Amino acid sequence: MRLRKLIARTVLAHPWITLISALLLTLLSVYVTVQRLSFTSTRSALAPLKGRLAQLQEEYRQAFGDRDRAIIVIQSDDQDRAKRFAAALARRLRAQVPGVEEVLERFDLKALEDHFLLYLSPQELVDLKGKLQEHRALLEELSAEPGLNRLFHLIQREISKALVGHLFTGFLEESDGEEQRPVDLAPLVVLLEQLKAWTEGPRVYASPWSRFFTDIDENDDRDGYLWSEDKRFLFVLATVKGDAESFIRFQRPIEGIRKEIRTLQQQYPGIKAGVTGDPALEYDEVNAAQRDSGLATVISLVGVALLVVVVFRGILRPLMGLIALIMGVCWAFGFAAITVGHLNMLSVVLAPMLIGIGMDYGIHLLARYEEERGQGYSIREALERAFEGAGPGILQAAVITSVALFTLLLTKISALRELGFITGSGLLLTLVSTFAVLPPLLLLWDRRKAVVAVVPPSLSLRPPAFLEACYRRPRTVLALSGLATVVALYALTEVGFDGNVLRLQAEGTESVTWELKIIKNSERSTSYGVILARTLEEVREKTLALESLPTISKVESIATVMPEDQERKLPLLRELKPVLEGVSLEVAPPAPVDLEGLLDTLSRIKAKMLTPEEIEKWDRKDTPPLEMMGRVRRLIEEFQMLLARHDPEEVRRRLSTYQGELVHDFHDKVALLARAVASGPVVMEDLPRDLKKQFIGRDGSYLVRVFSRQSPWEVASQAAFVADLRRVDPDAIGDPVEGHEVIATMKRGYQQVGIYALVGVAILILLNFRDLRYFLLAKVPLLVGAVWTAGLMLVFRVKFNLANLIIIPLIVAPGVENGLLIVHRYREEAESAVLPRSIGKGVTLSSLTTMVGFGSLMVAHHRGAFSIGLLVTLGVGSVLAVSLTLLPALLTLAAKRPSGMKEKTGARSEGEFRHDASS
Amino acid sequence: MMRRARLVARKGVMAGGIALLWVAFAASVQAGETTDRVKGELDRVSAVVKDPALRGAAKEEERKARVKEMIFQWFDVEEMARRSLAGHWTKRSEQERHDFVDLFGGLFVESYTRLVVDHLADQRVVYLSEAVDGQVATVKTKFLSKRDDPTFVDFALFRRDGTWAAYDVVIDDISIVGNYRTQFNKIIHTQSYESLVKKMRLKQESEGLGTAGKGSR
Repeated sequence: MRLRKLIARTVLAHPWITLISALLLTLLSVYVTVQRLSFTSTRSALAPLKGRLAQLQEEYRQAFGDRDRAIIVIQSDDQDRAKRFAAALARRLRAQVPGVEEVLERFDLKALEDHFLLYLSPQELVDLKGKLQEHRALLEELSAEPGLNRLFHLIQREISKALVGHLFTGFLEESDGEEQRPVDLAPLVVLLEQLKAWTEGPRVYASPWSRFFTDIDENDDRDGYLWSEDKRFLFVLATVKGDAESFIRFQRPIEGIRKEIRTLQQQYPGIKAGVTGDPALEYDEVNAAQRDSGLATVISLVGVALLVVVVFRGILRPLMGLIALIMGVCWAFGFAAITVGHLNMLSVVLAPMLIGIGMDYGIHLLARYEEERGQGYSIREALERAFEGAGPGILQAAVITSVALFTLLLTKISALRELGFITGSGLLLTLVSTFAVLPPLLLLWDRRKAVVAVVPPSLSLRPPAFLEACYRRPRTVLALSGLATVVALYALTEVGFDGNVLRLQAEGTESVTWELKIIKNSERSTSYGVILARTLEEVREKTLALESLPTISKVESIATVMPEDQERKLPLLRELKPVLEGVSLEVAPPAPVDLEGLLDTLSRIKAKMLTPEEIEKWDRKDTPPLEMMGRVRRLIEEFQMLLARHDPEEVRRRLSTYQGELVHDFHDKVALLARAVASGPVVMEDLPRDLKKQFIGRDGSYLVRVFSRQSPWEVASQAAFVADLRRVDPDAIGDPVEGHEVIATMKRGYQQVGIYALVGVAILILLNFRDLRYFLLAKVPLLVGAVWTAGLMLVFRVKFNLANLIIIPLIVAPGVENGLLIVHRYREEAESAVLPRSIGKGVTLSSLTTMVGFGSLMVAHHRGAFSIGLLVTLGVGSVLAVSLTLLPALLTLAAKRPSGMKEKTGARSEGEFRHDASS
Repeated sequence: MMRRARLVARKGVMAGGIALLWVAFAASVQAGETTDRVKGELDRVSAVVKDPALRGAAKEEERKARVKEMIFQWFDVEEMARRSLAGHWTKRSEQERHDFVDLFGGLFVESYTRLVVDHLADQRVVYLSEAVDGQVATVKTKFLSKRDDPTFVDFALFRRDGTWAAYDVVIDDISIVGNYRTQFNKIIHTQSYESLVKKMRLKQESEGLGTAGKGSR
């Protein structure tokens, strides 16, 4: 059935029924969209893969659970404050943040405490033995007679001993190549700081003994907190639950965590903290995208409306066109909600695309309708004639564009397939809405009188002045276009690809900022490789192999917490036993604090520290620890001054409290040391449950986490990292592996899409023209426009990325449409060398609406969306430029009637108007 | 690297203490014979170190030589060597003992001289007490820096040929002879007497020292 008859018998015959049905369908679509449509991040959208990798990922998920884990990063120079912040935050998150299911700020390593010596290297154990032997007297005497006075007296004696030993017998140790034990002033500084602080007032006790026994307790990892290697970052893991009902599923937990961080930061000024990890990255991206796409949609609608109003010099008819378009957009969203159920960062183009391209159909139909009304036809007749004249052209353009988009269905990436399905069918739905809604609207409410045979100036047949040059000097245009194309072809080789999905996110996005901070300043990332092993031995072997590779910064597994070489270390532990034999494990009460005695001892210590004058006069080759000596001096002087200012009794009372804590703690530490010396080997049962849950799967497999030395998000370093992972285990998985595969598949997919679209569209055009010459001419805007776009990419410093590669099918629409319509008109004009201005107007207007539609995405903070907007605008602009310059020049040269400008004014033939409308 | 840092640290602490060991002006206390003896020796050494005619780098060797001479005269290095070897002394032959005294004396006097020459500063010494028990005596002193930071130094003396000779100095509870004894004993036990002597000779050579006999009795 001809389109005219179909429309006449349906929508024009029953305008009210059609409109009410369309409205109901629109309301239903909005309801379904609100209820069902969700938004997923780029990562989630790209994640699903097939084949061996997908199978391995599934096995991993089965074994270790598919948990969404946010990572809270705490940055502070003060480790104790960072730990307190982490503990307080964990408490708050557990108590009051909905959607946070589990918080892990530290592993409970209590069961491993007595084994801590086994975590030292054999050499460290030997060193420890030496140190304990050397300080044996101090340990023995302090354990027998604990107290502040005794402690400082023993330190003073150690310093004197070192002094005399170095001066008179130091050469004996040096000639043996032995290390002389230095007087390490760091513990003394800590003690003096605490002494001073407690003199000023009571405070929370912090153990100084770890500083004294640096070699045996320097690694704070054993308190179970999750530190970066350099202890600059402390991590808290929060397992969060997405809200399936919500459009942004991680909104509640992530916003809740951020709120608690901000609240706590007021109590801990100076501490920096933020959230990253998959849920936070997703939330930030989706949140920005939602905000951006809403704004972009409004801007594109307003922009397109203004454009149409200006060109058509009226409000009512363009408004009707917009109403039809909006209904079509709503249907498309409703359809997406029912079929796919979600949008992602790629399908964020849906609304601007439907508005930009879908509006063309209304424009063409309205233009032809106005033309027919101008011929004096009634509204109904004008509509029927418009469908007869412009309908097939519009239908053809829509079908060809949809075919180009449907080629995405042929790729292996589900996100691209979804995109192709949603956009292709969405365009067809806007076509349906234009055909179904616009005619009844015009029929019922178009009150504008018909203007008979008056041709508006914009539709006059002369092209604009600057375009006349194209027709007058076609060879010049051809030469310049050829030059531009050659330059752009060179640029095509220079256009790069940026596969880093973090760079698609908005500038300054919190989760991205923290992720980049972690990567830059630590050996970790939230994105890591995963290798599974069947036995602990296999874990160790793979860990060793991985650690030798240049791209790998850190390997984590259950073996990390199982001490190595236990058989070798246990005998070394036994050797420590006799050294501790004289140390009393009985808790002896400390003697009362003697302030005068303490002052005397401290003065004797101070006497051994270089004064500033002595430091100035120092002219020896060796450099003493001047800074530490200065600090010791200063602290003792400050303590002396404090004592002079405060009531001695009050000070004695405060220091007695401090002494009590210190002595109690000392006994604890000594007892721990004694227990550790007597402990046996660490076995798997000793490891905490939380830790085992992290590294041992339900199926008994062991997880090895592998971190990349370089950023795991950058394509080059990601590829090298994945290659190294696969060298150790071809079945390696994890985010970088998945990302690497997705990028490769995406690139392949887009290449396929490009080929399919070109071939598919070419076949359709060829079928349409059935003439090779016309076919080739019609392809010029698309092919040359694409090359020019590459040149502009270099000028605008735009790289391809995972988001803007979508331009490949998208640029086909204006490319095909422009070529098709211009060449059609050219043929219809019997190959006249000069085309009327109206054809340029139609092409320009439809390209501009597309550019406005996509250009609206340039307001997006999301850099991926912005780059789509910019690139499609550049692409459509290039196609338009080719359509208005190179193509007319080619047509002029190829014309059978190249007789110069055809002077044609006044009333036009019916045929001319028909093709104007279809443009 | 670590080892070097540790050595440096230790030397630094050492240097601070060294400055306290000798004084120019002794406070006047009620002194007995042994205190007089100590005070006299300290005054003599101090006079050399503070002598303007012996100041400057050019005079350093001469200054050192004169101080060394005084120390050799004041300290009984044979007694110190004997006490430092403790039980091992009796196991050595006459010749070994003689050689050992030479070696020990040279090294001790060198260390002590360097300490005196390099670090004699403007300090006060307070003579706290003396205790005489037959042929041995202890003179307790307190060295005060310009800021009155104290270092307690005890001189152990014994009567030899009618005069009081020093055989030990105890700095803040740490005896120099005791320190020697601990270290020598450790090396003899873990290695051998010969190893000890070898190390001492190496040190002697590296310092460019001759035998201890020169300038001594």
